[in-house]
Amino acid sequence: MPVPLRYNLRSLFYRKGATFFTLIAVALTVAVLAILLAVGRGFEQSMSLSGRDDNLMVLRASASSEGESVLSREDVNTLSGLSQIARNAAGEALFAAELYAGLALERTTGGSTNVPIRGVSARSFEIRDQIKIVEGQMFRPGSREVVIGKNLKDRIQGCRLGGVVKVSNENWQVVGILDAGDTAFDTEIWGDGELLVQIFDRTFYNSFIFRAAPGTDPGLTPEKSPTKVATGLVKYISDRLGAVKILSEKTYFVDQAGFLGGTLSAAAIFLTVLMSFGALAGLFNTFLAAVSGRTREIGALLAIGYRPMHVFLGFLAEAVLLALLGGLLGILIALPFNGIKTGTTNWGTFTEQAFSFRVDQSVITSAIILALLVGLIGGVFPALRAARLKPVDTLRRG
Amino acid sequence: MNIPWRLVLAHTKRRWLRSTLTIVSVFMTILIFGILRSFIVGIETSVAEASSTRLVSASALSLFAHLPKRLEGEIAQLPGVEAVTHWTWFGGVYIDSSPDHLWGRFGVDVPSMRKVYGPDLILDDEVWKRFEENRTSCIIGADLAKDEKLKLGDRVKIVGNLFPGTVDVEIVGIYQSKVRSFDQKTMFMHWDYMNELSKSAGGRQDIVSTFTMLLKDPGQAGGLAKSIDTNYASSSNRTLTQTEKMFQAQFASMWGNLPLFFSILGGIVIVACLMVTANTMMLNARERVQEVGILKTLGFTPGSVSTMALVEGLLLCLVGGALAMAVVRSFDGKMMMFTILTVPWRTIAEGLAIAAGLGLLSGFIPALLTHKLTILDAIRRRA
Repeated sequence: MPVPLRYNLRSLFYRKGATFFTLIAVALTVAVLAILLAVGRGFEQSMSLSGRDDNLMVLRASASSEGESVLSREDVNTLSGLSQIARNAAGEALFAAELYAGLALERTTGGSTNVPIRGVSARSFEIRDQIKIVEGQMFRPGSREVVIGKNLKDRIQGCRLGGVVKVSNENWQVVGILDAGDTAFDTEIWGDGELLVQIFDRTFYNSFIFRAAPGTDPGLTPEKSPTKVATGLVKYISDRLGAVKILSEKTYFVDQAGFLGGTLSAAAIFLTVLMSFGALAGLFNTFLAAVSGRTREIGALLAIGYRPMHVFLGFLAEAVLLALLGGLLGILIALPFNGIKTGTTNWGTFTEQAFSFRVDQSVITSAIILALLVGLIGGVFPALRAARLKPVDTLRRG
Repeated sequence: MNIPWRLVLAHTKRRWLRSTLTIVSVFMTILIFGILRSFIVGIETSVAEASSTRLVSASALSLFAHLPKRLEGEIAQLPGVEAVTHWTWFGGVYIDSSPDHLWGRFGVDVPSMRKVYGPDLILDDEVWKRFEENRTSCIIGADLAKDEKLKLGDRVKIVGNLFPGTVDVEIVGIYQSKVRSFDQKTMFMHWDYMNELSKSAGGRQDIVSTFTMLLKDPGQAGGLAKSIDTNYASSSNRTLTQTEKMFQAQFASMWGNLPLFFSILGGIVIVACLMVTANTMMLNARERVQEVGILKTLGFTPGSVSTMALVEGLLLCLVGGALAMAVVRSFDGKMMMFTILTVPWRTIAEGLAIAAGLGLLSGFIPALLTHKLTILDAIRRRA
């Protein structure tokens, strides 16, 4: 018969000090893990949801981000004639040549950053149909007006409805705020592409994006799934305007997440491993002391017929229970971070990236797994020691 | 007050597993603190050691935009300017576009670069000369050489993207830097060479990323910066001119809240560790109640008995802290996330102070309880 759980539960409250210290140590460890994971999740989420599978981007083969890609006006003309471009109800081809650069602006909390600015063309919004103007209105083509992503609002100076952002030596009016569903576009400023190309003193665009038409010539279009771009199309274009690469918009953003995302998850793993050791040590010490302090109790349990296995499981359960309670407390500590907006520079693109902390199911699952592991590993040795005690010895002592 | 040191040592040895675990917990905690701190100090130092007597002009739009090379001549004419040099971010792909191979490569003008930045670098005159004379040569930082396993005479091929064409240059020098504002993980090649390549491939030409001015009189920095920016205020090449210090500060501020965020996490880690050490000391105290009674009977004053508890905690934490700071100190000068980890003695002192604080705080309650315990109570009570 197993040792009643009630016995272990009440034992936890017997040594209040040790239980409390260990509980807090586990809770804080789990909280740090959860908070770090929440940052990583928030960032990755914002990137992985950013693009559509059937929006294809054409970039220079050697460019690792839009900002590094260079497409001339002639290149754009050639590309716009592709037969694989889908058309809307009005029969207009869904493509856009875009400029992507950073605009040096001040954060409201001080310090400057490079906010991504996208020079867009007529079809840009239609291609990204998940983006909606939630306040104000669209900029008028050809005017010195911009719309800004909602994650820039109040975080960057001038970024609010009716505000002004400085583009070179001109003041551009913020006329609208867009919501792209917490994606990378929510950190971008959008303005008229033609005008911005002139302001940035350029004769070229950065990227060409188009919606893939369903079921076009199999030799040139992506086979079956639009994410798998057939090499035929790449070759067809590269032959005409030099080496390019084509990738789905979704793949592009997931790739861009890699740089900062990798840094953040490396930091999470590193801190968690180091910190878990503290929590483990706390649990271990507490239970070793508990076993030696309760030697006579354990002797009594064994003497009245509980099997060593039951004593082992009882102590292990006690440790796991304590760690799980700590884990729950840790999650409670991390929960208020959910939804907090923050921003940093993604050094892969050199531009500001804003995102929200996300304490979601996967973060909570990882936190509970960590607590369980700490409980199991920290509890197993003391529990073994308890199970190996000889009843005669323990009762004779003291 | 006399502290029976041998007794303190005997105590730590008696529950050796508990002591070891406590030391390791403190070690991990101070290690985390040390690494986070050296990262933040690294960012701060890159700004602090930057020159406030050199001016940097860049496009006011952002670092994504360029300035025409021809401004060089105009700026050099301005009174108070001793020398002008220019840097141009080449970008491109070395091997692949993974973060490991993402380091700065710039096109520069060698003679003026030497004049303006020479004093910051350790590089032989002969090497400068070789670099200057060979148009398809480059110099690289010592850290870059180490990380990419490059040595003198090796050729570096970088496929251009911002500027088309593939640069293929020979390493003729490996520099070390005297200041933390100048990292050792950058490559410099001839601007003329990359400009020619780009021009012949139909790419952009005759543009630069930044101009750096060496001043005759550092006191004039403010006035000169203003006059350069006013000059170009209404042109399509609006400039933003700042001291090198301010220019570096802009990179530091690009991190945003991240350093603060990590500092907060570091704080939580320290509190968590306090729980572990406090637990150890409380467990110790609880087991030794009877011994305390005996010690007091033997004539140890309450003061020295409780000091023993304090000293024991302090000792465990300081050992863990000292070991951790020794490891952290060995990271000094290493690059992490574009930042030179910097570990001044001040950081080491801070780490040790936190360790000592952990020790004192965790020993405090046990020491207090021990102090109050009467002989009778102590001996009567069972461990």
